[in-house]
Amino acid sequence: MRFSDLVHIELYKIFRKPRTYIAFAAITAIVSIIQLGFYADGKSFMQFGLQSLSDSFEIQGNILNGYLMTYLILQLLLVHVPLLIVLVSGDMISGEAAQGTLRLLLTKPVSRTTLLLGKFTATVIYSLLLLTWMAIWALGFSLVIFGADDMLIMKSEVVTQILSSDILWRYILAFGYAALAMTTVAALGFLLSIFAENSIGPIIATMSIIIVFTILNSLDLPFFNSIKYYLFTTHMLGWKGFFDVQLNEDNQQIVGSIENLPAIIYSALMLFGHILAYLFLSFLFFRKKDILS
Amino acid sequence: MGPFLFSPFTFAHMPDCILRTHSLSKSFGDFRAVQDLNIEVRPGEVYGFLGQNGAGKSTTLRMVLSLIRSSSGSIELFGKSLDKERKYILSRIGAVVEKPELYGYLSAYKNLEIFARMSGIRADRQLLMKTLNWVGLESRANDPVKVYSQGMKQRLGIAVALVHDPELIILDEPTNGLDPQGISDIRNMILDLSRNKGKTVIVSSHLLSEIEQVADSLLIIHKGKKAVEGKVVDLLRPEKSRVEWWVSDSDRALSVLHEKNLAAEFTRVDMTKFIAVMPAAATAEVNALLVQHQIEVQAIRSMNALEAYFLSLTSEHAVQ
Repeated sequence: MRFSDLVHIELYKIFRKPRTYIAFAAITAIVSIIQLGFYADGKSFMQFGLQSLSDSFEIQGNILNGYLMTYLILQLLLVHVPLLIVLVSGDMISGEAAQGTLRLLLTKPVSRTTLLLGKFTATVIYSLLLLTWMAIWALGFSLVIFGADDMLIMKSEVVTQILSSDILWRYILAFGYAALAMTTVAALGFLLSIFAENSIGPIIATMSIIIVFTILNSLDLPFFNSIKYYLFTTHMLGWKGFFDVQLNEDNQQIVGSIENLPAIIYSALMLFGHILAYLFLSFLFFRKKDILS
Repeated sequence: MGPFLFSPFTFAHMPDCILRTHSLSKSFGDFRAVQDLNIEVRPGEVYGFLGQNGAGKSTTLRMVLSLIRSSSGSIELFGKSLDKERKYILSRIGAVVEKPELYGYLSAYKNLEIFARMSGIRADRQLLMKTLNWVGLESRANDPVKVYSQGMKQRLGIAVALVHDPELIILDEPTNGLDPQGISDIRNMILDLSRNKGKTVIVSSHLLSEIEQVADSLLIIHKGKKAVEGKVVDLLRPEKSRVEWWVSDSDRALSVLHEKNLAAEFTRVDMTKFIAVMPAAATAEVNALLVQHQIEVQAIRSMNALEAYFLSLTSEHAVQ
């Protein structure tokens, strides 16, 4: 059988399950609620946020624009999207084992490696579709509702202004990077689903790992700092780097610049390394697994 | 693939053995589930695989289907090593392993289509409906499988096993959980596959009555080891039936029978029961003899050697 047929079958199975649509519904609901909240009360919120700046600077234009909305939504949501990805990836093998269909699948003339690769490819496609949906809803609709303008990003001591003409490509790369981060989460959920006979175990286990790693990231202690660079959750936030720009001598943005591109590439490679490691372990264990379910 | 479910069959190019295992063993930790099992299944026969629950039947069949890795020994199917030619071998096998679990949220038609593609064929609607028709599910083709009864699921499982026209069909406990009509339907399907479609069928069960009605050859497995193997006609030969007698006085009865020097072995069980290992045909003669000596015969139960042997395993299990 062709590999594309296998992926097609797996995608068909994914999209015939109601739980698949929970993630799409959740993203739609959360993004809509945030957009509605800012549409109703965003101006006073922005005035409050820019209070300290207004004393020294005159700020003109559409500050609460679609680009800033998308940035705020991504900051809030990209931490939680992994939990939605795991709903599907953690179920890919364990769900088949729980239903008893895994043994039937493995009596068919398809190698275990091919089957696993087909299922993983389908999981990645699902993750990409979810992110695309999020991009359309967060970026597309925010631009329609709030319009476009330069984006002000406030950090602890710095306010960066990015020209509106220099933003879209950054979002494209940010969503591309997010896809890599979500694929890492999918690969972890996929690996854990090999060891379980039901879906709940790997889903909860993956969520727990993400939560624990995220907590470790936020603790600024020397012991944890030494291991942070090896945790994939540290590198999942690398998408923000696309919105750090280089400044010229007049402290103005250099159009098309990224402040620390090597750091983003390093983080992307770390995520890629995690994906390969999880996949390698998945193949290793699955090839030798006795199907007793 | 043409729009026919079963292609014309011939054994001309078949190896003399469809399945051959050599010293096949499987251990789970310290527990030895299957020990040094040698099996030979010939083309076109129905091979019964009999044993109590936990005897090692499913473990053996799962090893044959490469669902479980053997601890030692080898498996050859269609003259090729399973380790080296897994994909080729599985393309020629259809299997239902224990309960035929399918995707409950999909229709029978969609399940069949998916597994046909997984088996390497692009089945058209005509073939899929013909296959569903063969198992009596054509009218329920579009119903989701989750509303199916156990018997319907079992038949759909068989349809999934057959849709790619395999030469060897492996059915692991196919009648489990079925009502009498369902059991009869499955039995008739197995006989049709073997007698009319030229398929080789391996069927496992813990019920002797199921196996002896369909199998040409059988193997009894007990505690992971081969206990008995042979042609069913040989194993069911009536020369040495085990006949249980309930009489008014077993001591007097045995005394009468010993005097006659019959070609039989008698064993006293209690005051009213004895067992005779004897030709089934001699039962009437023994009965007449006892009546003639005014010994009341209250009941007679005859079992063939195979039944007796299997019962002895069951008794042993019950004692344990």
